[in-house]
Amino acid sequence: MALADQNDTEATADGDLLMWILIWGELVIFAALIGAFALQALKDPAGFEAGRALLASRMAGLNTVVLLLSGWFAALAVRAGNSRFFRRVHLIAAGGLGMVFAVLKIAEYRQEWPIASLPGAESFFQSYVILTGYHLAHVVFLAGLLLLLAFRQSSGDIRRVATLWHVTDLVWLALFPLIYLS
Amino acid sequence: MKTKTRDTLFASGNWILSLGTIAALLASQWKEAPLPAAVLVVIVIMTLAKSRLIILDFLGLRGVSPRLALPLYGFMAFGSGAALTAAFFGA
Repeated sequence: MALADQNDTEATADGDLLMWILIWGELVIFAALIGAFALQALKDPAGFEAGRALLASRMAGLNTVVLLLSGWFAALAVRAGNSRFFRRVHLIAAGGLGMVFAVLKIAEYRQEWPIASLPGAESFFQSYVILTGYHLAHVVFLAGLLLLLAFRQSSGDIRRVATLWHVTDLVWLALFPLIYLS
Repeated sequence: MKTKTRDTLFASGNWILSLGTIAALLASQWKEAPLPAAVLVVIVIMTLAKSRLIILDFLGLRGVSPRLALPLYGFMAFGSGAALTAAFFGA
C-alpha cells in the first residue's frame, strides 16, 4: 500500500515537472514570436498600421472575454472537489468556450482573408497569421483535451490541463494589445 | 497548489471578466482611428492586473510558489513591453 502511494506521488511529481517544462518551452517560443512581431512592427510601421486597421478587432475583443470566461470554468473544474458532475459541467463549459473561441477566430480569418494580400500589408498579415495561428492550434488542442477529460476524469490530469489552459489564456492577453492595439 | 474556496475564485473571476470586458470595449471604440496612447497604457495596465489574478488564483500560485509565478509575470511584462514599444517607437 505504502509502495503504491509512493509510486503515485512519483508519477504526480513527474507529470508536474513535464507540465512545467512544456509551459516554459511554450512561453519561450511565444516570447520569440512576440519579439519578432514587435521588431517587424518597428521596421515597417506603415505596413503594420495599414494591416492592423483592417483587422476585425471587435471580434478579437469578444474572443478575449470568451477565453477569460473559459479559464474561469477551468479553474472551477479544478476546485470542484469530489463532485464528478460539477467537474464534468465545468470542463464541458471550459472546452466548449474554447471551441467558441476557435470558431470566432476562423470567422475572423475568413473576414480578413480577402484583404490580407493588399499591397503593403503582406508582411503584417504573414506575422499575424503565424502568431495567432500557432495560438489557435494550442486552443483547439487543449479545448479538445478539456472535453475529453470531462468524460475520462482524473483530478491530476484536470489540474495539469487547466494549468496549460490558463497559460494559453495568458499568452492571448499578451497577444491582444500587441496585435490589435499597438 | 493552494486550494481556493469557490467564493474567492468567483470574486477573482468576476474581476478578471470585468477588466477583460472593459478593455475590449475600450479597444473597440477606436476602430476607425489610431488608439490614443493613454488608452493603450490603461489597457496594458488592465492586462497586467488580469494576468496577476489568473496567475495567483486560477493557477493557484498565491503564496505558494513565487519561483513559478515570477517568470509568468516576466512573460506578461515582456509581452506588454513589446506592445508599448511597437506603439510608441513604431509610430
